[in-house]
Amino acid sequence: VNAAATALSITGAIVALALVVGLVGGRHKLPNPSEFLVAGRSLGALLLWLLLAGETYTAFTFLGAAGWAYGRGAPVYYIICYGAVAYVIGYFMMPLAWNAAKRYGMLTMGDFFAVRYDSKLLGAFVGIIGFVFLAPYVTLQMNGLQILLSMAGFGTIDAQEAVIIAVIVIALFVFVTGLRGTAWTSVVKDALVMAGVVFAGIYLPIHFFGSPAAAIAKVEALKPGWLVLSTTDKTYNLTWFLSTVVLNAVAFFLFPHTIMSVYSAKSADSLRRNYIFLPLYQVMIVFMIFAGITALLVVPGLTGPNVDNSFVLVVAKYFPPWVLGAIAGAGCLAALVPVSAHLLGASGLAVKNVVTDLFGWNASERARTIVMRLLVVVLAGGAVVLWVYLHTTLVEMLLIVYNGMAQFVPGFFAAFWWRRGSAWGIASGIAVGIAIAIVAVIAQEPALFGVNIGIVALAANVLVAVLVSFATPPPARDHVERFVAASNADASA
Amino acid sequence: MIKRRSVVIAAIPAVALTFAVPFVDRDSPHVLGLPFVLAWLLFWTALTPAFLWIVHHRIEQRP
Repeated sequence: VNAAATALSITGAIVALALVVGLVGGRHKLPNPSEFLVAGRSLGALLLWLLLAGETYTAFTFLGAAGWAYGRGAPVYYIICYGAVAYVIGYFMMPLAWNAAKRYGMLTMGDFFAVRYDSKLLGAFVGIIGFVFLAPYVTLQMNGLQILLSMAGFGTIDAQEAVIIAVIVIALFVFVTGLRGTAWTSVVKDALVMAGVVFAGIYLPIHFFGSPAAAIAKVEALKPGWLVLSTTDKTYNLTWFLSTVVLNAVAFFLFPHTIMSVYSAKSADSLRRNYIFLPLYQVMIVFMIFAGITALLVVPGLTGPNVDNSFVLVVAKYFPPWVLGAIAGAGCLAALVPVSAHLLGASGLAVKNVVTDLFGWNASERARTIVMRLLVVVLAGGAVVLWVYLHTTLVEMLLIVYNGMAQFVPGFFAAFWWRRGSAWGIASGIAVGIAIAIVAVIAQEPALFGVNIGIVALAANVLVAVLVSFATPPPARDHVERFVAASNADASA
Repeated sequence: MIKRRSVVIAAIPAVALTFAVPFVDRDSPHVLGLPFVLAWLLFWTALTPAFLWIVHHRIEQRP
């Protein structure tokens, strides 16, 4: 019990510290939705860096990377690759999106589609799908929280209750500070996660085996071919690897909360300067692979979802409680910071694209902001209830969601490079792509001829989008020309 | 406007981390104790910023 108390109080102190930094740094008036959702497009390069990294690298990026290295071996490499490739794409694409957002005052992902394709209906369609798809992400982070808190408590506390409290607290925090607070909590989160990753990936293998290289040599002696793609697995082979890297790289930015953090930049150039250096963060994934490999040698025999606990288990078993508490604290922040972004994203889509644009709710900026802020708390409550009662369903939904979010890709790229694309074309493509993603999950087919099913769905999506676009009237020509010109003209806030 | 030369240079690390992988997917020789393929991925990930830096400062920002 004493060990649990030590570990949990360290964990709690870390989360509290991050919230205090967020409250102090994020203190600001929130008179309109722009201040609440995208920090008034004011984030300079440094704070933007912390936000972009803070909400991208979640508890499951780390637990999952170690878990994949533990449970599957070389296929884990896909996580290293897609991030770096995504940032290369982001360097070119996201300044275009930012310029358009600035020119047209966009706040959400739905806004982007509504403006470019001149259709509030399409904006609401994208908004509703994005809203529904965010729920499983929140659940995933709550699963991560539960693992971390129950391990830090050595089984002495009801982790479920602790998770519920943590999520409600983070919702109240978002209510008070909006996106600015999320960016500031990332100061603490990024520093601690970085320290945790170095500990797990460098110190652990040195402690047990002398060096990461020695741990790798041991694993390769034990499981020949474990760290090479072409020899390890029948499903997770090279074709799967390539298609998965491409899918994840192009879909990387098309999450409602990711687009919002892009909008929050002060200028297109502060985005570019971030994407130049963000690939360095991907090196952390390599460290987590070392951590997973170390765990495979130290605590072998875990199966199923338990592989995700592997390296935390090593820490719990062989290190003093305060180390476990610190690791769990960093992990909890890595779950809670993204949750705060997810809640903001969902609330923005619901109030802006559905209630305001679709149902024509005519209210002042002030009133809309208050509703958005309240909705964040309501959504957190809803997510908690869903998590408690529909746990398994939501985890299964994740499989749909990963491939489903990617279906926004054609409409996003076509916005800048294909002037003929129509709202009906893009909407039909999205609908067909998501239908295929759902069918694949029901049929339990994660791949077609080795190709990740998300890529198959994406191909069908593009085909349908092109055919339907040609069969329906295009958006007004001068509107599209103005949009493309605006996206190419660097403005500053 | 995005310049063609920028895209070509930025594509180098992107291709190294995707379509080139089947050609380097081997265990030996180990580099710094890492299997060759993992060392390759680490090398190109760490080098991606250098390519983007060149694109940004030497091409895009020049008239």
